[in-house]
Amino acid sequence: MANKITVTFGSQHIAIPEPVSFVFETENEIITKVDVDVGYVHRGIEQAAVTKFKYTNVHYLLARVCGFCSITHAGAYVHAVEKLIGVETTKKIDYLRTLVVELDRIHSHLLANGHVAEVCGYENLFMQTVKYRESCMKLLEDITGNRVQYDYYTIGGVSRDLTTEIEKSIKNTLNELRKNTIKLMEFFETDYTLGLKTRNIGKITTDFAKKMNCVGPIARASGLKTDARAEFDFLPYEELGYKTQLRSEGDVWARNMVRFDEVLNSIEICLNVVDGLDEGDVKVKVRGKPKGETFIRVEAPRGECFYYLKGNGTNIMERVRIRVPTYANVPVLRELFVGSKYSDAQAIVLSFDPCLSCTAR
Amino acid sequence: MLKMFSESFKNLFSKPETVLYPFEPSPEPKNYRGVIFYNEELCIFCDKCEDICPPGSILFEVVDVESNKKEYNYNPYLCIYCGACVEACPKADEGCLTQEKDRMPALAGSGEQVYKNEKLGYFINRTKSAKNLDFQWREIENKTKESREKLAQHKALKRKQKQEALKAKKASSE
Amino acid sequence: MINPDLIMKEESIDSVKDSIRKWYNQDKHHYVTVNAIDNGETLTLDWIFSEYETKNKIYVFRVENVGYNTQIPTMTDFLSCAWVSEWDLADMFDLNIENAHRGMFLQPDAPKAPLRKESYSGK
Repeated sequence: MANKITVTFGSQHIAIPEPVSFVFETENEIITKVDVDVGYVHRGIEQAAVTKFKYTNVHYLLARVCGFCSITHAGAYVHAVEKLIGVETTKKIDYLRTLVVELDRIHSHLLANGHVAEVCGYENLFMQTVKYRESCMKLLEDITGNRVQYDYYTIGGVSRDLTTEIEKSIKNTLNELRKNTIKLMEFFETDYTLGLKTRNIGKITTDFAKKMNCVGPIARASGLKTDARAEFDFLPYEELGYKTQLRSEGDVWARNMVRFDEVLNSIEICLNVVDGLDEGDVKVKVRGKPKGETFIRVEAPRGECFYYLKGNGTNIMERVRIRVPTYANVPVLRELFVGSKYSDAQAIVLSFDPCLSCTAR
Repeated sequence: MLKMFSESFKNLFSKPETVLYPFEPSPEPKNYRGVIFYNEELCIFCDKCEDICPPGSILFEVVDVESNKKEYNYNPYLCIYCGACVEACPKADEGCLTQEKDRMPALAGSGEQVYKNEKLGYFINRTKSAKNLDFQWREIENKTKESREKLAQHKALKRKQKQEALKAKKASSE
Repeated sequence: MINPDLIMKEESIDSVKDSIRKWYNQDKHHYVTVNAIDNGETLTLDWIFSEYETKNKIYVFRVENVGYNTQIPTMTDFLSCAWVSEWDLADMFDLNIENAHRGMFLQPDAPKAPLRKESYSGK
């Protein structure tokens, strides 16, 4: 007869830097029931955005929803407000925005993959991944002036232009990073022990992904073709060489590989941006106040991020609704645990790259 | 597997990637978004920086309602260093508001002392103690609010006086 | 409305569940979220969907003039991932949604219904 044991995972756990709590009911080692709580870091940002901040500086607030996707949140808001006011941005502005968004995706994906390696017991591989990621962080610091809070988006433009020096360093760094990423990919692909911990673990079939409406790399690793970069016009991805990366296995390993594929694709996009950049101003004039409602989807590193904005022609927005990628992936995460081993739980959670400060807002 | 092994072996003999910070310098990059410097001589008191500042760390207190004289107060320990004020400033190119690459020294552990610089505005230069800095800032916030109300009242009064003077003029001419 | 490819369907609170159930095709439609907008005394509820591999398409099932105490149907019988957004709204607006658990996003000692207009406009 199997004994039922309740094991808590979080709210503070050594594998995840953010507070999330799962309460597993296990029979021997197999998880049979899961309770989840994701609201530990609720800060009331949706309310603050419609009370304390004017529409001209809500994006500085929203950038602080989450450290990793700070550019995505600010970006989604700015795209929405520009639609409401009726601002047309130039090609150069779009390109510069794409550059920072994609660099952000590169460093976020590399860290996510490193984390998976860490919880599988490969601390050195984690260190090495972070070492390579550091070059990308340095680039972002050079371009925007800060490592984490880029504050690069402004309504009607970006905050600063690239210098020729930075352009050169982008090219050198990214070419180097591409080589390093391919090296890391080989480790993940060929290593036997890492394979035991990641292959066929936490498997999501395409049908299940569709049923649970997964987003981001989790959906794409299961063969579900969904990506806001292809499905919504917010930045000129098609002309910059964007390709949707798909894998069919649907396990932890495939999620890592999709992230690596996307890193390589993003590097290509960034290099294309630098090559295709023309001269010109990085700001256009903005007149008017946001009025009406709009629905915006953008692709954050973790998946599709959705914004609903309603303006009433005054300085304060009427409603800002944020739906972040992890929020959409929590249901599938809960279902996925049932039937898997407790020892795999860490790898499964981290392969989702959960961002709880986004989810709780 | 072999590749990973050889890589680990190589890493054993390679240099450390980290910087030994207190012993070695770790400078900020060239375009780092650091502390905001202000030059009162160039300021036209348009209040645009105060309007846009997301955390409200720039406040213009009206010290004299007659001449509409304002004092620039800046709290670098509330600032989020987003640079929005510098972008909004119409005189930024001439150096009225600039974002330097230096950071403010940490408040904790500095004892009673606060780093002072003429360009940091009145608030930091007038504080005597680093303790209760947030409390002192709240006082500035209240004072600014009050002074703004006073200014509005003063303006309304002036407008009224003007209108009355106009009326009197009209009456006398008739 | 600023989105060019937006398809909005006006529904009533009694019919919305059935019409979404009839319309929703798992292989084609992607459930984004459910959203509530406070208009002062009533709410507008939006069930938002997108379409796979199609550009810019967004479907919205909109129910206007929902009272604060109206019983709102749950979509979890056929959209098994909808519970997060429903529990979120139940917390944030203090709504009466079928089977929604309270307290995932707000702790017990937090202010009730922080996103209702009456709780922040000072009236």
